[in-house]
Amino acid sequence: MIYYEYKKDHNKAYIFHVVKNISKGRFLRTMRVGRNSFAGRLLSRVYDCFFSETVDLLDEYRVYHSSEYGSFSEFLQKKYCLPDEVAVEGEDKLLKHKNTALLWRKEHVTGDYNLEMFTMSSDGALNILNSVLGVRNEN
Amino acid sequence: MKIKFDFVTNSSSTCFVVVLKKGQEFKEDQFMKCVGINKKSPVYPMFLELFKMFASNMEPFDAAVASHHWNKGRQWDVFIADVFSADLVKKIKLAKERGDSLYFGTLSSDVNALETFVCCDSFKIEGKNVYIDATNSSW
Repeated sequence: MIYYEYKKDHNKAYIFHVVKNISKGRFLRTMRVGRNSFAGRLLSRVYDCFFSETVDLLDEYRVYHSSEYGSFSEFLQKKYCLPDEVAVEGEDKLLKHKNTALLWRKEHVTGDYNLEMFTMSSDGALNILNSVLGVRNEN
Repeated sequence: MKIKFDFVTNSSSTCFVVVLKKGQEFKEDQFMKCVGINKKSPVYPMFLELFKMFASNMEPFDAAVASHHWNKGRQWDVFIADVFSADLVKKIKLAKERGDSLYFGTLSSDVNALETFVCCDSFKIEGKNVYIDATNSSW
């Protein structure tokens, strides 16, 4: 699910390749937890934490930058400082896998350090998120 | 003088209280019902880990309080009034009067992602026969 991680503006940043439009309700239903239970509230916080301050890169490109940059991969290279091959492969991923998105997100943006550490660690909640949001047969 | 620009790491510990209605035991199925998880849930293993974490870290309340390293020879009621909120102290005293089973436990942020998260979070789990309170200390 984590496609690329790097440092940008002195902060760690991630790019996730995820299935698009998985609502919180669908996420909780897949996890088979009720919204008002302890488990439901916990996973709801994890979901909110993951999606806080994320940018859908293709949406951003289409809405604001398509006349400025000749292609999506050029936008990724120049605006998000991605290496050429990572940008090109990122564009390929979206072409290959319909209904998926590249989400960009900085680390520690939620104000809840503890929740963020848990959400973003693979022995914490990241594998749980991946089981729902991850793109199947990615490679 | 050294100036650190990144996060400073530190380990933390916290305590929790478990109240079980008279005659009840701390059991997996009861705990799962309280947190709202059924056996078919993909996150059942995570909540099973949480159950085991509580079960393996809790001791009978009075003995644990008497020997706890935070307690430096203070009287029982002075110590609990110092460590817990007024609301929780009331619950503990009421549980004692009723003859409910009371347990005290500690968690550490040094063990794994789940225990670190739970250690630094603040929460209550309430069920028909079980009450877990970990609100006393959070970051």
